[in-house]
Amino acid sequence: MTDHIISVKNLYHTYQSGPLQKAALLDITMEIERGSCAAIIGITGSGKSTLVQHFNGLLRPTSGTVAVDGVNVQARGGDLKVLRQRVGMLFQFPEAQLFEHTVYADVAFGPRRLKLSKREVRTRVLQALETVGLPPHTYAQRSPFELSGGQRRRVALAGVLAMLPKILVLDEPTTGLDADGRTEFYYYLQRVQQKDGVTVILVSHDMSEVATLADQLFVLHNGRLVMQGTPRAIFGQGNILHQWGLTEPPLSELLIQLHKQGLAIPLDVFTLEEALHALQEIETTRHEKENV
Amino acid sequence: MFKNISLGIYYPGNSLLHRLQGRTKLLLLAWFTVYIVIANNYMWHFAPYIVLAALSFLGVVISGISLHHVWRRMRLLLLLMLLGAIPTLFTTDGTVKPLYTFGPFPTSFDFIRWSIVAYGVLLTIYIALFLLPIPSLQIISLRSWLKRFRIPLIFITLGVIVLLWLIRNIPPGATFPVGPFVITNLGVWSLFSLYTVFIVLYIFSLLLTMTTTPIALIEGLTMLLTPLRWLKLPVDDFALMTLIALRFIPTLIEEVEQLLKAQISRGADYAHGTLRERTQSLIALFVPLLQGVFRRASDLATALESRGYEIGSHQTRLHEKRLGAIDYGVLALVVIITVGSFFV
Repeated sequence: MTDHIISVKNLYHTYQSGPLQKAALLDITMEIERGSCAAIIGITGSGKSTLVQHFNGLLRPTSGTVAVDGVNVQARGGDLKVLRQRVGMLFQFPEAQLFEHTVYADVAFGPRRLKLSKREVRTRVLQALETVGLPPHTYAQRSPFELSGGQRRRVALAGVLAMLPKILVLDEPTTGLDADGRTEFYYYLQRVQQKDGVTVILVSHDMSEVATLADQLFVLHNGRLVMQGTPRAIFGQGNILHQWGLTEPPLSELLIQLHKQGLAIPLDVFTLEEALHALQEIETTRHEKENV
Repeated sequence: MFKNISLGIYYPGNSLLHRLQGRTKLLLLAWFTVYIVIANNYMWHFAPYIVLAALSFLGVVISGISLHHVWRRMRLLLLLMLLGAIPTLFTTDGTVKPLYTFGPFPTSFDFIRWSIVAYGVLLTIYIALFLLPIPSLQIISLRSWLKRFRIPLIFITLGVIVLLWLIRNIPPGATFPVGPFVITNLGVWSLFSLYTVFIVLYIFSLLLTMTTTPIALIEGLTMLLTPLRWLKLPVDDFALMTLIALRFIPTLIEEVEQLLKAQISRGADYAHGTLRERTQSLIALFVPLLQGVFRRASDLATALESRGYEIGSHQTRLHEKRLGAIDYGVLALVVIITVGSFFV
C-alpha cells in the first residue's frame, strides 16, 4: 500500500477582496507520496501558490478537505501550529525574510520558538547550516546581509530545515539565481530529500529543473488540475503542455524535433546521459544495418 | 488577514458617475456644500432639501452600486446620529414659543433603587448563563450571542455602582422631577436640516469614492489645485508624492502578507506567546519590511532620475484629459436645479 503524506479531496478556494470574488482553485483532488518529490507546475496565476499554502494551513479550504500527515486543514478551527512545524515552507525570494545580525541567530529563530533546550537548538542550527553547504565555522557569525544572493537563499532554507520538517514546500526557489546558484541550491535540496527522507514539493515553471528532480508532476491551469503523472509520462507525450502555456524542457523539445524528422528516438527520455545513450544505440543499429 | 482592508472603496463599473471625471465630481461635492450652507439660512424652506435628497437618491441609482452595499456603509452613521438626535430635538434658545411640552415627571428614589435591584438580578442570571457549566446552554450560538453583551454590561455595571454611591445619603421617600421636556420649532427644524445634510453629504462622498479610483481622485484634486502654483506651492511634487504613496499601498500590503506568511511558516506566532516572543516575531516582520521599503524607494528614485525627473520642474500630463460633454452637462444641470430650488 502506498503511503500518502498529503491527500487533497475536492478542494475549492475562493479569494474575497471587498466586493470582488475570485475562484482560485476548483475541485482539486490529488495525493502526494511520502518521501517523494512532487512538482506543481503551471503558468502565473494558475493557482500553484494558493494550493501549496493549504499544505501548512496558511490558507484554509473554502470547501473540500486537505489532510497533511494525518492533520486535517479545515475551513475553521483545528490546531495548525503542529502543521507549521511539520511542513516547512520557503516562499519566493526567501532571502528577503532574513532579519537577524548573524546567520546563526537567523537560522535559530524557528527552533527557539519550539521551546527546545539551548543545546538542541545549537545542534539543529549547525546541522542545518552544514546541510545547505555553509560550514558553520566560517558562516555562522557573519551577517546574512554580506552574503551572496545564492548563499542568503540557502540561509533561508537552513532556517526552515532547522525546524526538522517532514515536508518541504518550495515556491519557485531558484528564480533570480544565476546558473551556479541554481545548481548548488538543487544539489543541497536533493541531499536533504535523500538524507532525511523529507517529502519535497516544488512549485515551478522551469521545466528542466522539474524534469530532473520530480517523481510526480501536477499541472495546474486556471485553478484546475489538468494533468498529473511522472515526468516521463508527461514529457513523453510530445507537445501536450503547450495548450496550458507551458513548454517542455529543451531536451524534450529537441527529441520531439528529431522524432518529427523521422529518427526512431524514444520521447520519454529526459536526462542528457539517457539521451546520449539512446542516440548511440540508434547509431550502432544503423551501422549494423549498413554492414549487413 | 488583510482581506478586510478595502483601500478606498472603489466599485468598478461603467455608469454615468464612473465616466465623469474626478474633478467634476469634486467640484459637484464642493458645490453641494456651498448650497447647503446657503439653504440653511432659509428656515422652513423645504425645496432645497427635497432636491438634495432626490439628487442623492438618483446618484445611488445611476451609479449602479447595489443599495445593499450603500446601506451597509451607512447604518453605523445612522445609528450614531440617532443617538445625537435626542438632544438636538430639545434645543431651545428660550425665546421661541414651545411647540409641545411634556413633563415634568416626579420620580422617586425608591423607583431607582428597585431598578438597580432588578438590574442586579438580571446580571446574576447573565453570569450564571455564561459561566456555569449548564449542559443545555453549551450551545455555541447562544454563547456567542451572550458574549456580545459583555462589554456594554461592564460599562452599565460601572455606571450603576457610581449611581449607587451618588444616592447613598438620600432618604427613600424623596422625589425629584424629570423634565419638563420642551420641543420647539427650532429644535424640529435643526433636527430635520442637520439630519438631511449629514446623510446627503455622506451619500455624496460615498458615491465619489465608490465611483472614482483613488488615483483619479488625486489627479482631479491636483488639477483643481493648479492655481496654487502661482503662489509657488509645489503642487506637482505633492501630486507625484501622493500618487506614489497610493500606488505603493497595495504593493506594501502584499509584501507584509508575504513576509507574515514566511515568518509564520518559520514558527513566528503573532497571536500567542509571551510578550518577548511576540516582540521578536514583530521584529522578524518589520526589519525585513523596512529594508524592502528602503530598497524599493531608492530604486524608484533612481528610476525617476534616470528618466529626467527634476524637483520643482513643471510637469505636463501624458494624457491631457479635458472635461467632456457629460462633465459640462452634469455640472450645468446640477447648478440649474439647485439654484432653481431657491425660487420655488
